[in-house]
Amino acid sequence: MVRTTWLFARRSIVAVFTLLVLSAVVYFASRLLPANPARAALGKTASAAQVHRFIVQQGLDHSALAGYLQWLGHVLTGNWGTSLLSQSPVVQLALPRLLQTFLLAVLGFIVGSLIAIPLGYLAGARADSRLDLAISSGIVGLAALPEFVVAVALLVIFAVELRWLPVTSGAIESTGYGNPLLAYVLPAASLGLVVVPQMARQVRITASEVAREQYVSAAVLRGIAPRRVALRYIIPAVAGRVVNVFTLTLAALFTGVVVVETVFGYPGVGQLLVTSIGNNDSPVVEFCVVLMGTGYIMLNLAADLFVIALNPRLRRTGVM
Amino acid sequence: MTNPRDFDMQRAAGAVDLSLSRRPLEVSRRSLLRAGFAASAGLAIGGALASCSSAGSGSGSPQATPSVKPRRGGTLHGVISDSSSLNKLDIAYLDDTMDGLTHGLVYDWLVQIDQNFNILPGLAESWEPNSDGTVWTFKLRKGVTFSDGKTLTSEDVVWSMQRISDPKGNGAGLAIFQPYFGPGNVVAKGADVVQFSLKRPNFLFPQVVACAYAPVAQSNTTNWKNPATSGPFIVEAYNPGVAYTFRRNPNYWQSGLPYLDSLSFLTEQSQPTKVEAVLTGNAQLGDAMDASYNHAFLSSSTTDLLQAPGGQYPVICFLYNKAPYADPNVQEALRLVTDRQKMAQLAYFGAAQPVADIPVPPSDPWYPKDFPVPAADPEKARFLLKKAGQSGLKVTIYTSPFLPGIAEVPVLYKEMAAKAGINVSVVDVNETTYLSQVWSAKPSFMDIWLRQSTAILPPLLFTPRSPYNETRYPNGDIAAAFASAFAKPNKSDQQRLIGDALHLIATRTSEVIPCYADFTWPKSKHLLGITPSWQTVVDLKTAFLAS
Repeated sequence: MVRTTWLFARRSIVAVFTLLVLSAVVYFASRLLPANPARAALGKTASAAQVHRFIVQQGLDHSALAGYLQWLGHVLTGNWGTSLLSQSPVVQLALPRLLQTFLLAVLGFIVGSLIAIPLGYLAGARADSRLDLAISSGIVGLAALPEFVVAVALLVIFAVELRWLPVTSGAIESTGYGNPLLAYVLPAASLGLVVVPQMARQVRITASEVAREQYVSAAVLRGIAPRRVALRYIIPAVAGRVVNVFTLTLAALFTGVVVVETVFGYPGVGQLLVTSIGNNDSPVVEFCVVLMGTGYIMLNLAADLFVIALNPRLRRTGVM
Repeated sequence: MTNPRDFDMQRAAGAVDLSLSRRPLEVSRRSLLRAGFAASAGLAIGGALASCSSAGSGSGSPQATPSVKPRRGGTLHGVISDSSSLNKLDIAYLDDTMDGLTHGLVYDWLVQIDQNFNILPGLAESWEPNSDGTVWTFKLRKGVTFSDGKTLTSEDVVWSMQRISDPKGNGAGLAIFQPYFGPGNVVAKGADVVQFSLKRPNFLFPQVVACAYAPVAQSNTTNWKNPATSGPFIVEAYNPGVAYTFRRNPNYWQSGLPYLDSLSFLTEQSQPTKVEAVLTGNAQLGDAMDASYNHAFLSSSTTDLLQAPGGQYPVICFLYNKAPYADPNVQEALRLVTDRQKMAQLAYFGAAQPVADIPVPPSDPWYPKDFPVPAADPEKARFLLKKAGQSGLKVTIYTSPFLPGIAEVPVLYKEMAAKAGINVSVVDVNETTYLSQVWSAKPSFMDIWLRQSTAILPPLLFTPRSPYNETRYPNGDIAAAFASAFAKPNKSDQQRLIGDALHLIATRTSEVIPCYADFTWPKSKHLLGITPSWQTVVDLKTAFLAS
């Protein structure tokens, strides 16, 4: 328990430092971008005087270091600032979208897990069988498909041709475009399918290894029923070994939903982030990146804690 | 296939232009509007000048009256790509299609404008200039109320006009208003009279206050998230870049309007998803899209296109202050290599009209009569280049994929120019780089403009210190020619002098305008009474959903 607490404290300190570095890199990199937020906000027909006034009003005439320190000072007092372009408070603008993106990532993770775990287990427990070959081939095929192809294919089949599901995820935000709950299905399914190959392969190889362990062979030789061998010996061992990879997959999902959000018009943070980077709207970018970075770091930490919890040897040796 | 009965209903409703209903069209998107907003359209050439300039009065609506009896009620669902988290309800702000659409739904203008640029009554029921066109007096209609119950007065109009013309503000239309009036030039004369004392005479001044940038809000509005408004609809929910909901204003001053109970718009930046949303009936209206989708809408039994000529034009700009583009021989050579008919056919699938390097479509009431579109003459171009000492001229045209429909124009131009020995290379840059480092900065670049009144856009493009002057045209001759036209009270004089000014644009400037592209939006066949508007993008006051 003490080691776990120490691990958590140590990781938290590293996380804060990492986030500071991350925010600094993002801020200074944004100063190198050619985009001019004044032009983005005012349009091309704004006069030079209007552009200059905007730059002064928004403090964009300060040096990058002064600007960063000012931003950091505000953040430490809980003020994330306002969007340079929309003048809306950043938290009000981005937080609801971040939560929607997080929800989508979790749903995608659940879909991916529900597909990947049985497939990977079946293939791994019967390694080199025809079933394994069939499943592995399917997974390789799925892995070859980019996110947008999967998303558009699902859209065409289930929304356009069969018309079972709404075309746009806007139904989540507004009535009249279909059942809001159904609007989550296609984005979550697309995202889930995208991570199935990675998760299924990890389960397969782990299950294959575990199935060859001596204690599993011994259990089989003792005449224990195959189902009980699977539930009692193989699956717990596989779960302990893949939880780390699965948690990191969730983190990757959280940061990689832009394409799916775009295809389905999902009201997440992806489009906002891309637009804000394009327009050099640094307060919005900083908020999104820092929050997503925090989420990523927390999930990494959670993965480590899961591994420790599931592997008593690590708790004793303190290798983590 | 199109149901003939439905098609007739739409034709009656003014929603379909038969001559163009089967022609595909290229797009417009968010950045395009940001690049110079003003919604589009003009359905036909009309003798519309009559009420464009001088005093007027009445109570009519600019919309065509549908012969099909409009049905009350229902909710219109729309999907809009050209929409973003930057959207605002502030009258001084206008960035994209959703802003234009929203302003048109919730605000009113002093005057309305129809598709032929006729000025019609809006909040003002009558208006008149003084004898030299320097003072315009607008008499407001009585009984207009805001959504909070307050009655509209001249103070509201004065405050709104001051806000949009404040030189210290960031008003999107500042460059349009500044030549004519600022905050000190607008005064209330009693509760229902507003007077503009213009900086220079303009007998076409109602065109200026009819532009998309001049809606009227309640005076001293500070809460732009939920302002009191007087338009046909009231904001119910406003989530920029995500979803927008409006409900009917039961106290709207135009009796009987609007027909729809409510409207709901979603931001849908994926074009395929937007297209499918309309095709599958999830939505009844979408904004501009790629021409490649047109056929799908025309061949569906439930959808068609809202289409009109004269929506936007692409322009190849050459900076006048960069050698050799100030040389008249080079300018003429650059124009002469252009095969305009081919450009309209290939770049816009035929949904465009060739023009003679003027920012006015042939369907416009001010388009000069007997203004021939020049034929391509690469041999003469080659001769002129030689005369200018510019044989084998090398040109790099910068463009951006965010400028829809014009990706093909510089590529086609490259092929055409090669016949005259001009070596053109085309460079693509992204949107943000384009605005900050290409537009009006590189010696040659592409741009696109949405249609605005001929009384507004062409003069601004060639006024030396105007921010619209993207080619850095240094001479005041064109602006002066327009100014003298606008100072004439007589319509025939205005028409003649505007023609002269447009002729100067066609012959003295360093830009090539090969064609003027159409306006196209996908819609359900059941959505009738909707018309393109160059004040509010589309006019939904008279829209209704047929059963």
